[in-house]
Amino acid sequence: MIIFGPKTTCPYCFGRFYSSDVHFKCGKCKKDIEPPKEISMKWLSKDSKPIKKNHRWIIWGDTANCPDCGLDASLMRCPKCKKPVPTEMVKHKSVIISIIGARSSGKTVYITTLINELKRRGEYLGNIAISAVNIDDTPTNYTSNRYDEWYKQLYINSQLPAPTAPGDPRNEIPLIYEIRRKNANPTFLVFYDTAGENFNNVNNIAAKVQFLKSSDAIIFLLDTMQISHVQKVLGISTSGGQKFDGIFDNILTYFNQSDPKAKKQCFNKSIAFVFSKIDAILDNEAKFKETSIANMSMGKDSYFINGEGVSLAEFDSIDNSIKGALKAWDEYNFLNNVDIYFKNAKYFGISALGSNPTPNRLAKPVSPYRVLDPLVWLLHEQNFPLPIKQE
Amino acid sequence: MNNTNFQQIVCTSSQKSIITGLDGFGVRTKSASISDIEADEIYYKSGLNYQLPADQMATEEIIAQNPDLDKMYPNTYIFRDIILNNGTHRYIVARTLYVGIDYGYFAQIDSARRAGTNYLSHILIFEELPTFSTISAIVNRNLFVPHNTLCSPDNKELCSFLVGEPALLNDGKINNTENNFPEISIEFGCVIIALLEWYKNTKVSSVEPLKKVACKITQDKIKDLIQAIGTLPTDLTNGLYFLANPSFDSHVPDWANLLIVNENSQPIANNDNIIVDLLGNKPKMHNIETNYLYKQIIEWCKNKESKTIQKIIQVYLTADFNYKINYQDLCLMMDLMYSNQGITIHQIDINKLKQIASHNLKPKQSATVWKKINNAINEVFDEASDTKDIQTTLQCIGFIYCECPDKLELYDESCNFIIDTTFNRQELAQIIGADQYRLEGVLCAIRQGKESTLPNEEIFFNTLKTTNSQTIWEKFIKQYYGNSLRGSMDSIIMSILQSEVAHKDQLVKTLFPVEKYAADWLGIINDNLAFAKSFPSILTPYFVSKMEQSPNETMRKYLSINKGSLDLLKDADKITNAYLNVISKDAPTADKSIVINIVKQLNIPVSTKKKCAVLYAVLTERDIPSVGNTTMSFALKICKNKEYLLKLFETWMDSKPEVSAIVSFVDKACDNAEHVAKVFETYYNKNKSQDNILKIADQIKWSKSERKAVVNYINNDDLKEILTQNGGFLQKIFRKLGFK
Repeated sequence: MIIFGPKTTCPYCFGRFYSSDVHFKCGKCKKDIEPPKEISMKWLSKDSKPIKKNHRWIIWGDTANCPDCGLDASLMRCPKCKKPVPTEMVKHKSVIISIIGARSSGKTVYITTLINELKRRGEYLGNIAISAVNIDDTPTNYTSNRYDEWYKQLYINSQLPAPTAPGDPRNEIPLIYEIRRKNANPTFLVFYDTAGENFNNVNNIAAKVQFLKSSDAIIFLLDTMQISHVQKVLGISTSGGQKFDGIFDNILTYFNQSDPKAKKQCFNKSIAFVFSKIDAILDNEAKFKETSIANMSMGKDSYFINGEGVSLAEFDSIDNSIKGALKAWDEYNFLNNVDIYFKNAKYFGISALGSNPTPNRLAKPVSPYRVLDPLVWLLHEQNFPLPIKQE
Repeated sequence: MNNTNFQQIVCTSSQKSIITGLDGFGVRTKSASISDIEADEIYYKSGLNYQLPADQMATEEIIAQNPDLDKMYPNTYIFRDIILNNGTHRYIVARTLYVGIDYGYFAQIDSARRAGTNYLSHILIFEELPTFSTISAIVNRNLFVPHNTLCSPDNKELCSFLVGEPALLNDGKINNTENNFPEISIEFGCVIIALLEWYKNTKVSSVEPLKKVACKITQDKIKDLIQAIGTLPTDLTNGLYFLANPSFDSHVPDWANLLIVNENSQPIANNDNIIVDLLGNKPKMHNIETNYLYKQIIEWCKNKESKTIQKIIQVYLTADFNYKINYQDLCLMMDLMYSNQGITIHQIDINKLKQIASHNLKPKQSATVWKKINNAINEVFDEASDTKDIQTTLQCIGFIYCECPDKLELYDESCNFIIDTTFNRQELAQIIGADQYRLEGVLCAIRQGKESTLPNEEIFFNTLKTTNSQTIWEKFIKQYYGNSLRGSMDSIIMSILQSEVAHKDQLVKTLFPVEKYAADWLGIINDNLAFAKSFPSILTPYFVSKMEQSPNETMRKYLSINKGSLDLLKDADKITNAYLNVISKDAPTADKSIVINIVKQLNIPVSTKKKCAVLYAVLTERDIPSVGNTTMSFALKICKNKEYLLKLFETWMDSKPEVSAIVSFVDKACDNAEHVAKVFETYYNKNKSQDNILKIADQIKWSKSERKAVVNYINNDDLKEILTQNGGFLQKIFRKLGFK
């Protein structure tokens, strides 16, 4: 197989490399096999031929012959950090999606329910199928193992996942999923679950949240329960925790500190501002009266679940409703900042659990509400083919 | 007793960080002396956390029922180096305590009481690398906070780090007392062996990745092990960064050299590392070499010989691991360094000395070791020793003298003994044999001994004559004569000539190189026909090499040797030809008197004499009665006078030279058309051969106009016609093809 085309972004170190620069790891002797300095036909697998494109030889096989043991090595590695990279990801498109948010905004819970909902609702999104890509060198770090751990805790044991600690090395290991449709090339979704504390300091964002700049799209989770107006209406204690947009200024500063090109790229990314735990408002409409979110209710789930395709108009409607609510809650500054800086932003409201848990346990079974909306919109923005309702 | 100061920070998920003012994981509090930026950077770079699988994390119920989490979740210790963004190093020692539940549990705040991941790390920060004994003291004196680790809202000390306003800390201080080496056990012996192996790996230049140490031990013994390691020499434990008692992960981190895991840990992941398994009844070790020393250490452990182990570690640390270590010799080294008793010559030999010399000893250790060795050496000469002991001792002396001369201390009595044995008892050949170090040993004794003890020349040479080793002769003569070597050239050479030494020529040339001793050589060869006879060609290379620079002066010097010697030297022809070769390049520089003297004085072959005669005739432009090809060729080389050459040409024609020789003559001797015309006319007058004239004409490289000019100078009409009628291009081709 001959592969060529754009650079691939390593999901571990975020280094960008050409397909022809990829390394291989021999499954038997574990040797790292580098591409030859001078291209040799011997190096290529049987069906590989050199192709000259844009004055650069871009050639590589699906395998490389191990110079030590002579076996064909098929495990691809990033040439920079030597971490494993899925072969199909090198050959096809990958969409890196950052899920960011302050501490306790519900990132781990959101990722868990998002993946489960993708599995459940694939038929409404053009019969897509997703599968975990388990390529890490340590089996405990496999995407499926990490997801299973969260799934078991949330869906089976009805427990909230423990807070993600900043020092946990697993923060930097991506969860990689392949989305595939019949007779079509796959797309890869790469998620990162990171500790919210990593966003408390601009310097730490650069060091610990490297994926942010390399991602194609961002899901920015905002804790509805940390909005002053919501706390006031619901009578929630304001001690502890930070305001819903507490880390927003740090993200803006981080992007603004980039070089002009990177800065432009950052603010041009598609970004979904997602208010988590939205059930707290929708279930208490009476308390919020006119400051509630218009056109949203817990009984009215995503339009595509009806099987009539994705309604972009619905996303626009929710976007407008949340903007309206934010104005009603006196959060003009946040709205204006988003409007000034981000070229392609949209607001969403979700509830990963569907109800308010006790401090450590779920009060009711997990019943996700609109968790797929932000991802569906971002996939559409990334030109992923979806059944879109003609309006 | 020195005190070491340290700064400190406490990191946990608390209600308020002293740096950000926010809740959640971060720096809860810190020493007033450390900046916010540095404290935050150290926390993030420390990589501290308490990693557990979700199903093993504590729940609120578990914590409420059993707040003594220590028992289920071990405290983790680390010691590591951190490089700050500004490039400076910080060395941190930390204890991580599993708290298990977020701060809200302690402050009754529902929004922050999720269970599972909270921990509290107390980090002590050093600007200078602390010794391992300091680290072990910190761990064992439990300088970490909170001292009360009960995970309960009632634990005020713990709660002060989790809820409410954070309070700044003071810098800490620890006094560096040295701990006593513990009673040795086989388990600790195994750890020592692993650390010795690791230490060796750090010292050996190798492309292989460094093997690190991973140790499995029960949780209750981890602090004791850290304390025991702290008693080992600093040179061994310096920079021994470790992770001890990790909760879940069993990788040796990149930054650590030592991993200590407990009985509940997963199998150690890095199989390439040195593994010490102390969990079973019998310690097990993996990935470690088997050698005499390690076996011996286990034996000493069994016999509870703590002191011996301490000593051997010190010896081991002085070894040069890039040199092939003989582990048995390390025990000898230990005796040398630490035993109160001396050693005998039977305990050392040259191989052992090589090992000893490779150790990097401290001055005091070095003095002790070499004093014992010197004593053992000098003792041999105290009393009548057998030849074998003397030989071994001389070899040792020679080795030390050559490899580490500053370590050798040879008593006067020993020198006298060696000199006496060598010369007066004439045992030189026997005690030296063919061994270079023994030879150096004797020479060393001569150098260091008193001059008065040296034998007279007669005894000296009589002793030398007992061996035919050229090397021994050379080194002894150089040593014996020293600066007076040149002045004694005659007698030395005479002694050599009278001996049976091998390769006398070579020995003489080594002692008195002709280039350096040219004048002396001329003198002694002039004065002594025997020398000229013995060294017939000794001066030839010298004269030949000098000829190019100054031929006349060199030849004059050669001719100054008296006739008898010159005849014996048998190199006159070679030197004369060298002279003629140089002169032939620049004949006018030749000295006529030298040419005459060559012919008169030197015994040279006729051909060389002829060359001299031609040279003389050319120099004086006299007629030569008979000129052959050789003479003509020589004349062409040395003579610049064309008229004289054309005169010689006439004589040369009598010997009927080949056409090609004539063409070559035209090429070298003729400057103009008149000269060429003269050649043709001379040749035609003598030979009358039209064919040869045309062959010569065909082979001369000339243009039509040049040919015409030549013809104009020719007086002989027949010759003129031959050259003009047959000079066409086609005619020339036909002649070449053999057509008439």
